[in-house]
Amino acid sequence: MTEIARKVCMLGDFGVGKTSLVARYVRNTFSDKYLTTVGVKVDSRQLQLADGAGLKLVIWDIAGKSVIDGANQSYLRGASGLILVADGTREASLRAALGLLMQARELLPDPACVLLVNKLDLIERWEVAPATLAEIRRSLPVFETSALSGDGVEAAFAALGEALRP
Amino acid sequence: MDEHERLKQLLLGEELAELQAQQRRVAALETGAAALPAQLPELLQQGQRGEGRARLAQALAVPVADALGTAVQQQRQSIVDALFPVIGPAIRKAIAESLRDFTDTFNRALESSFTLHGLRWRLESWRTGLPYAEVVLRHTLRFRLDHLFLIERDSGLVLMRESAADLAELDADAIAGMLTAIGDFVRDSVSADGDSTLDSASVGEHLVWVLQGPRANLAAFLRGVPPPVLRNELRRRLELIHAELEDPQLALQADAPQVAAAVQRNLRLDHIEASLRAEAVQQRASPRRWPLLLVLLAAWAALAWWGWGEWQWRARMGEAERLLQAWPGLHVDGIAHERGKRLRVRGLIDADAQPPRAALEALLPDGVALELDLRGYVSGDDAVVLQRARRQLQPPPTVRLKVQSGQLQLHGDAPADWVGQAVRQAGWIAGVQRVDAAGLRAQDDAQAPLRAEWDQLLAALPQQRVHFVRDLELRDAEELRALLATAARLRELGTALHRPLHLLCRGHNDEPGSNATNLDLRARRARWLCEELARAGFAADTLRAAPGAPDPNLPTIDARAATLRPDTAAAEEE
Repeated sequence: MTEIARKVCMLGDFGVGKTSLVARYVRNTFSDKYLTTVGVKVDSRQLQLADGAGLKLVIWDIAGKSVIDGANQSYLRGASGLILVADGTREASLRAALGLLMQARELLPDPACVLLVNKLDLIERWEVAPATLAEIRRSLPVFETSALSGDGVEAAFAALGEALRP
Repeated sequence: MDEHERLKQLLLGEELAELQAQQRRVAALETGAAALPAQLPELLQQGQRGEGRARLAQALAVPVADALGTAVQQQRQSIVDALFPVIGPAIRKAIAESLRDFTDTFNRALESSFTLHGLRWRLESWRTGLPYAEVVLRHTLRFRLDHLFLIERDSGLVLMRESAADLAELDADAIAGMLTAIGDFVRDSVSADGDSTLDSASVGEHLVWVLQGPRANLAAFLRGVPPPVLRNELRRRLELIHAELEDPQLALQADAPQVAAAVQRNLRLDHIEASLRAEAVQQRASPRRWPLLLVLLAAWAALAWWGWGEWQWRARMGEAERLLQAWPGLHVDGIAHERGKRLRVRGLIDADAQPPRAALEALLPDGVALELDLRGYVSGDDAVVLQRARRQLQPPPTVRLKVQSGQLQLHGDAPADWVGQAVRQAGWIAGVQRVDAAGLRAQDDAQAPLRAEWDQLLAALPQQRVHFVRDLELRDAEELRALLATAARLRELGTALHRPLHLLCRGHNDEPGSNATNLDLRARRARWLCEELARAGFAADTLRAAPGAPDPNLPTIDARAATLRPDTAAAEEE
């Protein structure tokens, strides 16, 4: 019998750092060129949950777009979790991530979600106000991450893994 | 040094020294950078020594590749010229290797053609319609099943997997996910109906089959040339798995180990190979022979049909030959035939023999042309001689003729005069070597007086004249009545004696007058006499008028006359 696995889709506007986050978190099996050709790149990561149980996250890094079109709908099919990624230096990317969440919830029954506000290493240039994030945290787990330093990345994926516990 | 400088030295002396040292280093670096272009070749040579060679190659790989790419774009001709000495031998080497491979393949095919296997594969090729090379490949090339992934259709997650033992570990979930994503991508890109999707993909010897199921897909990663039966086997196993899998995710949870075991069993590579082997053995044990049998049956039927037709034709030709050989009055020189088309007979035939055409046409099937190339001759066949004797002797019904071995036998009763004539004539008939008339008896001659009277009247008839005074004026009407009476009596005798009577009416005249006038007068007197006879009841077709010739010996008055005589020419014609 194979281990328990969950499909997780990573959504976010173009340039928010999704691919860098995945690269930081997983073993890269495939080249990034699939993102520009097929529009998606799939990797996996084995998680150790808090209680010691194992869970495999199969992460579908979907090419950055502000809306979910026909091709992306196919890629979302069967997903259990969503990783929404925004760029803290661009407030518009946060609105795009929340918009993608609304669209995805129409396609998926009840996905587990986390919001990663990326580029923590450039916090001095952030446009996203802490108050805004505090407001979002009331309905969605929010993690401030840096793909450059790796800050917050493991914690975000771990939180998602807990949410996806069988 | 003033107070300020001393204080400065105390507070910043160490930093100042450091600053000066850095300034000296910068100056040294600038000096080195300026000298670098001149020193670079030597430095590169030094860098290739020892372990530095690999590091240098690694460091230069990317910039050299980029530089080469740029050069290809910007100075294509220079690159082509530089590579020309390399490309030529490379191409020749590739062609030589291809030819060697082809020769090996050809030799193998040639060798296999003369072996039992080769003959069997040829038969299989002929039976299945596949090219011989493909059949050979099927039997000679092998394949290997590397991985089997059971992939949930929607999520692309691996539900179960089986891999060959000696392969390196791989990220099955990532591969399955990408395979699913690419399948979706291909379907969305090229499939108009939305139902079709990626079935297979191949790169070199590697091959991926994706078998679609309603809840899960089966991806097979292969190498080599798999037989088509493998796809059927995988399809069958996917169907068995679906029978176990109501909910793919739930079924693989820990609380359903039986389901998982059943699924796992259907994915076992060794089980699949065993199934293929069993099927191959079964196919070998019970090959599809019915097409071959059908062909053999058809060939046998065609051969039988041809043989039956040939036998029938030869039987007919034999019968025709026998018929012709036994045909009286026919000598066959040669018979040529072409089945169902024509029959040609060459030979000789007697004029009295029956033509064989009707008998042959009755013997031959429809549509066969009959050509008879027959020339005349006199036959000595008894039957033909008999026919000839009958034609020449014209025996009465009471006489029977028979010819045996050239001897003509006559039996029966006949009038004495016919008997005498027949005995005289029979020896002259062609083909008659001897005449046996012992059985021929002359009848009592009751008609002899009638024949004597017939002969007498016929002899006297030309002397019996009807005289004219002038033109058609009769000298004595009694002469006409007497002549008509004589003619009537001859007609009676002819009927009794079965002898036809034909009369020739002739006109005569004396010498005076022109020839034309006299000829006309003779013609008119002849016609006048015929008309008188016709009025007396003689049939017109038994009468003929002809001007007579002048007779200078007769007296003038006796020469003006009309006469009758037997028309022997007409009698002979009849």
